[in-house]
Amino acid sequence: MIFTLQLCAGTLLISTIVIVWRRSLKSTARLLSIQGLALGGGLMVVEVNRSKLTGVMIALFVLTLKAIVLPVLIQRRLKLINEETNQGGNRSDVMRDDTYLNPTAGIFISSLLIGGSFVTTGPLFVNVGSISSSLSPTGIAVVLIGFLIIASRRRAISQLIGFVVVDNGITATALFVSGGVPTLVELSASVDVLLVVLILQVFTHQLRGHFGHTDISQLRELHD
Amino acid sequence: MNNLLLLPLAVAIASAATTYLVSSATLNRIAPTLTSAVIFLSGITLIHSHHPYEVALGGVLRVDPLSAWMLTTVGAVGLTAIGAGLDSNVSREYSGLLNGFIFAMSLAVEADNIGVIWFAIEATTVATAFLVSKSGTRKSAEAAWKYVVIASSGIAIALLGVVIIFGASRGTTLSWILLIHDHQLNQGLLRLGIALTVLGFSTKVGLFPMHSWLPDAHSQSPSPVSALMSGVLLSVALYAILRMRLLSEVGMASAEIKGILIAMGLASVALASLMMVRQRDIKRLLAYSSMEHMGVMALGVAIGKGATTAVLIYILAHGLIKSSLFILVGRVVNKTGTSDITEISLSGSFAGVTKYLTIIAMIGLLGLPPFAIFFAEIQISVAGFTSGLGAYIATAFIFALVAFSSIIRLIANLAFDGASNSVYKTPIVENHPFTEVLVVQRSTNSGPEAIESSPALLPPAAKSTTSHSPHFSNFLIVLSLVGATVFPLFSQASLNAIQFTISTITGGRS
Repeated sequence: MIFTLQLCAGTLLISTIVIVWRRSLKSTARLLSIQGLALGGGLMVVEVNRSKLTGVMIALFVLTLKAIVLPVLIQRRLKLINEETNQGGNRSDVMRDDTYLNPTAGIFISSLLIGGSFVTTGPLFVNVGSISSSLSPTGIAVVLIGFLIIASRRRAISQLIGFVVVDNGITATALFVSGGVPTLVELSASVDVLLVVLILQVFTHQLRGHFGHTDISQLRELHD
Repeated sequence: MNNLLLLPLAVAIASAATTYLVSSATLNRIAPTLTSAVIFLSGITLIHSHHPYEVALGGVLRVDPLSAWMLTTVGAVGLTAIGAGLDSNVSREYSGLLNGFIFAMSLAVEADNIGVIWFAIEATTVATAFLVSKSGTRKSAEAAWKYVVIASSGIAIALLGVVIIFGASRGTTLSWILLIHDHQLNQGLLRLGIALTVLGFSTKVGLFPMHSWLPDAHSQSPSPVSALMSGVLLSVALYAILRMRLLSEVGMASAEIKGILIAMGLASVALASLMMVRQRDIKRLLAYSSMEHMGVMALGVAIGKGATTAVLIYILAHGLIKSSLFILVGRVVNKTGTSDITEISLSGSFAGVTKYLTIIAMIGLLGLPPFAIFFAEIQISVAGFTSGLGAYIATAFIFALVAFSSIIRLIANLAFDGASNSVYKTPIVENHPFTEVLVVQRSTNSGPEAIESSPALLPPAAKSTTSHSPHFSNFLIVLSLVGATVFPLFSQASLNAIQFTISTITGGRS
């Protein structure tokens, strides 16, 4: 079991770093799907090991949500944006996003964040009762890199992707530190991320309608 | 007795469902008001309950005097904000989201499980997202986007904290009361977890440096929503921080949490006061004033047990006063179509009962004696000086003086400028030349956007957004302003109960 969880942690970390430097939004959505698969799989293994039916159901729910529903939602949104932009005649590269970081800088900062989270929080997770607890800093690193994605991207949809990465990191931390959180919390957190993604999709649509673009750095209507 | 815990939640769901099934404008307006009334009465009853606490849903909900106090506050502010602020054309979606908003806040204060508290606070973001963007302008779309992204990111940090606290209990429990009595918590993880939850929830309190959504969302929302956000949403999040602060007394995390709260509280008071000085937009000014008050309350929470009851009095009084102010100011903003302070005071439509009530409420906001904010601030300072945090309190009050002067200037502007121009004394009429001049000026100044966002150019039907019955609305506002003065003085028994509960829970361990 511990091997599965290590694999899960590794997949998660590598896919997150790839998200940081990839410009293509389409492949980012696919990477989110891989993350969801890794997380849901890890959770499934833990719950099957515990052999509790509700736990397995929850793991299945998380797997469906993170590996299928959320990536598909984002892909559909991208497709819609693509069609809308191409109708107007001015073909622009909407399937890619600009970041403030070039790939090297992105990987460099990510590795700093990973190293930092292992050095600072690593000692805290020793001997806390779960066999996989020493993997927990991975989850925290993914959360931090998720925030890096939110902070360094220009387009609204990328911020949405960053938000999903942050949530994946939290789920991973929960999985490693204690084999998942209680059913109630797991369920509400999953429903919450789904709702926030849906709301943000509606708002990206509204922003596009009002401003003609979704470049967050250009939102300057409100200031003091 | 535990039905009383479920009653507020059940009524909120039922009234949302009813408005959805029966589409009636009157019902849409009454339903959320009724929910607030039920929450208020349940809270009052629970405050006077003779048991130390009530439990429901197998321990997921647990109401002690502290929760009961907050529940009463949610109900009271809800009555003011919704009962006095809602206009006659309320869509069922609007009404349903308001119900959802109140439901989430009631759940947050009743829940014992930290995970459920987290969920409820995040649910307030989900419920209010579309309320912020309700007016459909570019500005509101931008405000709503910022609000959801910043609030959700902050709350994600809190979830990470909750997950780590669960790890600290070796994956056994997330119940606040069980954690308090657990002697074998992993101290390192507990410290990390509490610090993260405090940081995360502070986003929703609007503390520096995660405050930037606050003035935008407050200024773009409809008045009842701004009133609810300023009046209770911020303080419900502060309540969650207070719970974490009490939990930190158990471990060795207390010093760090104190440090974080003092730093964020002081920075919020400082920044908000300075932003108030040159603020021309009346709703943004009120929003920054909320941030300033929240900063002082955060200092109170940092002080801990000695200041807890003062913080609770503060929360109630500030909630009642600020929600009344948002409703009163909202009336004028709707009427004149501008939120610029000078334009409002020149337009002359700021008159009559609305004017006097606004001035009284602003005096309350200043923290002058008949109002409870005064007593709360005194108590927080005393507790601060006795616990060795006097320097921070003193610094905060120096900045609070700056905020004080801004509010004084606002009162002077509103009270005298309009009246001195006798031409504009009469209420503004539909085609008053002044309005048109104003609109033309605004539209030439800032391009087509001003036309879109200026209600003065909308058809008259859309403009008549004043409260359905001004007398009833004024009555509720007067009630809430009275409540912000004498109520805490009569509730000494419940404050003692809160103090007692807190010392019995955390006393032996600190």
